[in-house]
Amino acid sequence: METLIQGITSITLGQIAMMLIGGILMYLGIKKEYEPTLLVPMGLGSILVNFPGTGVLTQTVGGTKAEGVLDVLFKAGITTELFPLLIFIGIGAMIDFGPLLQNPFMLLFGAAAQFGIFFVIIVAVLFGFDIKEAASIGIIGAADGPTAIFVSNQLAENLLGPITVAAYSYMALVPIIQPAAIKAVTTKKERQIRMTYKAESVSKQTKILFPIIVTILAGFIAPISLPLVGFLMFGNLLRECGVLDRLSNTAQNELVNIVSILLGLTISVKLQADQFLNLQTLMIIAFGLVAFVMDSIGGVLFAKLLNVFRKEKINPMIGAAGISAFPMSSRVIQKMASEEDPKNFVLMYAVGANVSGQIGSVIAGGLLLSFFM
Amino acid sequence: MIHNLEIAFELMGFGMGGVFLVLFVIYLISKLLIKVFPAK
Repeated sequence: METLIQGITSITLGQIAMMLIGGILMYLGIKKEYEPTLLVPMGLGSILVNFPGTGVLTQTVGGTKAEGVLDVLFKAGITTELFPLLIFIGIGAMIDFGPLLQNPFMLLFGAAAQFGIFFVIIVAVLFGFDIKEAASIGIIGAADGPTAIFVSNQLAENLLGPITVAAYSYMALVPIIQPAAIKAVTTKKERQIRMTYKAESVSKQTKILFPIIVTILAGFIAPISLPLVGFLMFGNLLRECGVLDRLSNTAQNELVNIVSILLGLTISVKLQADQFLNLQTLMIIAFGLVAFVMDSIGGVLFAKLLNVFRKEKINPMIGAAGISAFPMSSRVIQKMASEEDPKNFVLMYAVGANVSGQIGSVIAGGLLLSFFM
Repeated sequence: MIHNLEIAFELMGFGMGGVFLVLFVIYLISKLLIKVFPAK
């Protein structure tokens, strides 16, 4: 009888709190549809790992070590970086670089909107984090879950749990965060700027050569970023080469789905009460929000700076679309533009900037790693 | 902390400069590709 109630009597308040957090993550995923692919597995995973003596984690019983399945998966998929990288193949296969190649100028916004990453590194250092931990927190501003996992796992594995929760939560909250940040730094008149749509035609050869050349370029400039950039571009090559549609479809669907299930569950290893419930986690959650806000502000201010020198003005909201959260960010920008002027159509420019943000975020992640390696 | 702060500012310069540089080079490559391989 004592054995049967041991689970109830030995549970701590912290573990109960983590189970409630798991419940909230599942609620956000299921009811609000905020990044359900990751938040639902992470939510249930948070419950699984917080039972005293849970069998999903490695336990020593009577002197015998019993490997827990989530620890095995963690070693196989996160410590080795395998899961985030496999997801990158799928993301690459999903990305259409067409809108970006039609307006290559939009690439610059994908750079400007990485500002939040580096801003938050400074903020985190001011709050007492060491530089590698600060860099891991800053990468939340990449607005790209797999990049955040890849970088933080190498620089500050102890912070992987809160960083992943923050990254995916704020990506889901882009429709709430970005309008507020954009309105804080733009006037109504600026948000009403119309942009005549001009687009270059893009040939098949260009679409095929683009991922290959970007991979080579990344290899020369920041070889440490090659797992990120290379896998992303490999996925895109599957999509664009025209002879591997079957593999491209698998990468976009089965591969991403299977790895997402495993990734979400596995990350929950870092959602154990004794590792998660502390002041650091609260600060990381707060800094993540700052990173997303400063990404948006960085992009908008860069567009405003360009407008000083340009005859044909850019709607500065396009700058905020340079984050990696695709396609939410470009949709948000179009919605805001329509609210200010129902006949204003900036979607294709916003999509171009948004796709550029996907390249910019992996480059930023790679540069962070190369700085420390 | 001062030392870490110095590195953080250095990282800001290196990171933002690096991202702009790489994406600007990709911009030039994109323009070149579009010119060399025009759509029919």
